[in-house]
Amino acid sequence: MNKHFVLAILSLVLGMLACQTKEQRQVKIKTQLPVLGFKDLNEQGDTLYHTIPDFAFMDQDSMLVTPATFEGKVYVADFFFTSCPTICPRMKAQMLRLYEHFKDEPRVAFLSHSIDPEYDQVPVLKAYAEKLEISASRWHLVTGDKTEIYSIAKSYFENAAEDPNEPGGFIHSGAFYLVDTQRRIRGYYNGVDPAEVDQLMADIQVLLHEDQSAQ
Amino acid sequence: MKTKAPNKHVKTSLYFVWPLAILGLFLLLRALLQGGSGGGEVGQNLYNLHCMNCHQEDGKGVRGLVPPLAGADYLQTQRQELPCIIKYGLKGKIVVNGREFDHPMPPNLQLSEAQVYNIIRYIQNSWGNEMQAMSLAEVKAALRQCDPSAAK
Repeated sequence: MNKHFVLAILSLVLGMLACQTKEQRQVKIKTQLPVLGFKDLNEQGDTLYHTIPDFAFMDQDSMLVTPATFEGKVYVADFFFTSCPTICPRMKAQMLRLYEHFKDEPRVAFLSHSIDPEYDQVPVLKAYAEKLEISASRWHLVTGDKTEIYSIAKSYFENAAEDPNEPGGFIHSGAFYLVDTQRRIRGYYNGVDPAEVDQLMADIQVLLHEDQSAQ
Repeated sequence: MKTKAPNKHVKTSLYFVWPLAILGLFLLLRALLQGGSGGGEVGQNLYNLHCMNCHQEDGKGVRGLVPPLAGADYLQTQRQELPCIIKYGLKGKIVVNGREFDHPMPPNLQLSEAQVYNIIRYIQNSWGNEMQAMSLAEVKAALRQCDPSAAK
């Protein structure tokens, strides 16, 4: 009888643990973030990190957005298209949470690349931004040369592509990429998962603190 | 006369029965505690799969992009249209709770009549919505009206 009791309690505890770990995913407080991507050494022996190359895209206010736009800022980048029938509205809802959370922090910006730049011209992006009630000074929705956008996507390790079999005609990952002031990728997060976006929120603070201590 | 051997067999099998019984009870309690909403789990699963990306888990939509379902007057005023909107999507301007929305809603042609019915039931009974239930017959009749293959 004793053995039955032990087994019964054991299964109960295991069952409860199994259910809890699924529901409670807490934000990890980190002291530093990794630098993602391939590393190299230059002739002097310094480490060269993977960085986002130069780019020039047009945002919803017809302003040219380049790396200089994000000078002294960390930014969150993603890939989307306005006519996307699947995960984009959910990504945008999560991005809006970040946008609101950091509304008083000028060192945090957002960059959403359209992977359907032929349809998503400036007026379409403008209308989309108005529906989201976002300001181009903090959140840039950009369009541009298709090859350049797909090439910059690769530098984020984003898997964006045209695919006529997909709803909407394009595939993309739904990831948010965290980029530091030196154009290095410091993290990527599932942009449709609120728990991962909470983690991103905490990680942005780590980067801001890192920049403060570096000065 | 019976031998004692089968009895022994019954006793050892209790090792498996006990934990399973407790686990079963635990899962049942969990299900009872969570499944309290009127829409039913089937409707909720369908909603999560086909509607939640845009209309969000809390039914509030996304600002001026995706209209809310929670507390939306549109659900009352356009009640008869709901089955067709869910299955065949929507284009053009609509007004929900006094606010204008103009972003196309994609069709969900794969949904059966029963699935459309379950989704409507879930929406009608979630997030504080309390609406006059739509019957399966109403859903079927509405869908027959807007079925493009049946149009004459």
